[in-house]
Amino acid sequence: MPKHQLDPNKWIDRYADYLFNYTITRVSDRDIADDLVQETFFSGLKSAVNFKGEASERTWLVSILKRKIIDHYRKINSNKGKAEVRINYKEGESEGDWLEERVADPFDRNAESTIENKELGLAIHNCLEKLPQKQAEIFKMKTIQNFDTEAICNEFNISASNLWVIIHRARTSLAGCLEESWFK
Amino acid sequence: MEAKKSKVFIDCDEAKHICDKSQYNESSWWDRFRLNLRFVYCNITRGYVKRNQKLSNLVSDDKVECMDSKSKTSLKTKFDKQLQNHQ
Repeated sequence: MPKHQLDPNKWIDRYADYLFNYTITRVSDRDIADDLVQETFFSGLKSAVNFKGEASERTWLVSILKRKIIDHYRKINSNKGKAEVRINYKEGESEGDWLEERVADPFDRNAESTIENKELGLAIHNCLEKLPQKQAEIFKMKTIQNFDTEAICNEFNISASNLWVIIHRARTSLAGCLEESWFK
Repeated sequence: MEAKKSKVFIDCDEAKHICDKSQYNESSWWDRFRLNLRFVYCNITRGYVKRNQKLSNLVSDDKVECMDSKSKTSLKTKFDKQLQNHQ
């Protein structure tokens, strides 16, 4: 019997945010990330018969997504000229004046911190997946998507004090999980 | 008889509640004052505040992204249709 089985009915709730976070750190465009995640789920459904059950559902979906991201960049690069970097000089500037100022950006994130942020994003989503679904959804809406308390209460039909209890539980569990997985 | 609740000195649970609200800038200055007061003498509150702030710092600064609710609902609708055709 295979170790893992597919349950497509729960894919969107379980993995949409994780896959979106994975994609957005690689393509930096929300619309493209949405499209790639959608294509991944559709492709996953089509090729579900090929799933051997050796990897987890999420690992398998990520492997499909990786191919989609590579295909996306291949497509962009095949449109010659679009990937070219063009620099326009402003009035009064001539070649050479701008170089020192514009090339180095001491406040920009370095490669190391960018990679760290990508991994941290995925670690947070890993921990969010371990929370009860409603708790995770409410935490995401409040903390990541910055929804108003009132809007969330209306959406889930709960009182404000209920919301804060849920947020408290989610924060406590998340902090514990991240201490195990991120700070260890 | 129930002990009279102090307006200035709060218990640990209330301190945690205020601390949670503060992470979203939803606490009043009076609440923050009372939390700071408890912070001075309560180890548990100090630990909770530090842990909570650490979590807020981790989750902020564009490190975590989520799919927009509308996009997710639309994706769900499309996917459910596809799923029905598939079954």
